[in-house]
Amino acid sequence: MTEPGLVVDGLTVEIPTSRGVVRAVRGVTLSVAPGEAMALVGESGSGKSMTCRAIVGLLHPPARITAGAVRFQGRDLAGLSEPEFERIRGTGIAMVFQDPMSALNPVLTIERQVAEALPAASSPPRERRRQVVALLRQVGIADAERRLRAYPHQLSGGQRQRVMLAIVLARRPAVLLADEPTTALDVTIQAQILKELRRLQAQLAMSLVLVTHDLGVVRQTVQRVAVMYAGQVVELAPTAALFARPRHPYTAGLINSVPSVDRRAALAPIPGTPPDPVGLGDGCAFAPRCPIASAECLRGEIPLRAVADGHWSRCLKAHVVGGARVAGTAAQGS
Amino acid sequence: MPEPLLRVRNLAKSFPLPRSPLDAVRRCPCEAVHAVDGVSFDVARGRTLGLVGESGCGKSTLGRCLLRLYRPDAGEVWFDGVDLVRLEEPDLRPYRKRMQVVLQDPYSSLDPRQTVGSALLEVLGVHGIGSPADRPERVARLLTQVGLRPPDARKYPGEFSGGQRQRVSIARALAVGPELLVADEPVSALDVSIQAQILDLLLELRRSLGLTMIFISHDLRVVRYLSDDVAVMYLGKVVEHAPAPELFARPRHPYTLALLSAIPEVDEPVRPTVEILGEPSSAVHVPPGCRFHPRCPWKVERCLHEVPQLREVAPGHRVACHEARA
Repeated sequence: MTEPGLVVDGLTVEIPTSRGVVRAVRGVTLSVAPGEAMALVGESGSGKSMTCRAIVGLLHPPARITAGAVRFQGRDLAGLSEPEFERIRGTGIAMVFQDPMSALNPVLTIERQVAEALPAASSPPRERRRQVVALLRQVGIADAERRLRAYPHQLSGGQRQRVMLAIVLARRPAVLLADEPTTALDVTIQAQILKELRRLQAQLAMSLVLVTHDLGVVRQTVQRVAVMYAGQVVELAPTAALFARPRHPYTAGLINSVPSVDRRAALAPIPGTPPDPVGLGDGCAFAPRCPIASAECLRGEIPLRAVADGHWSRCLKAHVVGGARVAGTAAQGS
Repeated sequence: MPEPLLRVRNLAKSFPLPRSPLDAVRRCPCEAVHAVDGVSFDVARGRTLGLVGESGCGKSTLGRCLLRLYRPDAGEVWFDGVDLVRLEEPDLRPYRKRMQVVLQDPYSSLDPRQTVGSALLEVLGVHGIGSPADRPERVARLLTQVGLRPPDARKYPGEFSGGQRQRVSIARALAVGPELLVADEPVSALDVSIQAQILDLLLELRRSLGLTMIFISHDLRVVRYLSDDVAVMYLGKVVEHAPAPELFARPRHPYTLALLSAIPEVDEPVRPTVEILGEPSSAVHVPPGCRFHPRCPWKVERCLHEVPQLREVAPGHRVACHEARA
């Protein structure tokens, strides 16, 4: 039987460094159903981007997958050769990055780059141009005809991200991985691009994996969330359930760290800083910053356990983690 | 009413663009980026003004003009009754001590080859603060004040995390005992859990030291958390200025409304949504009339040629929009 969608199973990514081996991703297991939008959220160094890159086979050496599997429509991607991967990246799994400048070719026109993404049918040039214009219009580029001959550097950041989305639209991938696609953009442009992304995802019935550090973006864009900390998924839940009642103290701390314009509530920052990725032990990596940790949290691997329907937490004390925006989650400090 | 610590009037700053040799021969007029164009406001002692806007709106240039890191083209910056724009360098010196800055990137504003302790001692020495004998004691106090430990004085900037480095640059700004602190995107490069720590530190310092603050950020959520008053900037102009609770409860300018609508909130949004299309116009070829009109959902014919002036629509609430209702 073939599994639908994308399955990540026990994925582990290691990077050898002069200080020792960094385990950037530690046994991540996820599945994304066809047409589902989910987010990987976490702070810098949490392993969210690395997970994403490992899925599409774009890890920078010496980072490499040391355990686990990535299956797409039942096929294991981890063992594929580069040409085979190339084919899957075309129409199976596509990726957009924070900086579209790095993904677009600086010496080719927009028309050429979008046209290359169209299916390799032998339609006449005029027809292809018409298709490119239609695609650019669909992603909200108003003066599409005029933009055909433009080069990437002549466009703004928001426009470049729209061109990337037009290319995605042309390829019609089954899965789109978007790594911080709006982080470099101004907030009004971000709102436009997120709206475009949601529309595109619904229109193509495509699976979306959105990698972001912004909980607000998560809340407005996806149905399910995986929260990552120190290379592991620490909480996995439907979006509404996660915000209504986070069941991992790290998630609760993150939610309490975001200021809001509607409420001038006191923030409750998480004390301390994330752990050194070299030499992470078996116990809970969040324990040194956790307000409810005790000795047992440092003893051995803590499994991801179901706490409610579809809601998983890697915390021994998930039952005592309170609702969102509880005051006094943690004491202050550095 | 007491004299405000800072009084800014009609401040303007533009940066000429490089001219091609051909244009120079043809004597084409030199084009310029109009970064700040006719900005006026007051900041009372002990209050925090949040300057908010998107990239290129001129908020950082404005901050640098206030500090006299840039010389404004026109306008006045009255600091404690003295117009800084008219002062030259040796006379500015005493004022440099009274106003300090914290920047977004603590990596580039700290010397990697100097220990934090020696950097702080240097600042104290340059400004002649305390006697050489009691300066190490002051350094220890400063570090404690920003949530670091006195032994951290022996460390180099590279040994600190991003959040701790921002604490170091705050300590350096506080070393000279400033009255005004200009914080330019001080938390934008930090992860959200660390960002919250630094925001709370700034709040605490403001309370304990009675600092007056200009807090510059693109993030309305962060501005809301820290500011008493908020000025929203668009293409070099202040389009709305009000006490923070008033601005967030009753925003009047369509750009402010659009900014608020665009914030991805963690809580359920409860305000009306104004969506704007397109991108900001160029600060070189500024649109005539209201600068926001090409993106404005409310625009009428008048907006295309008549520049809206800031006018008071409620006590302390000023808006530059022809269509804004009182």
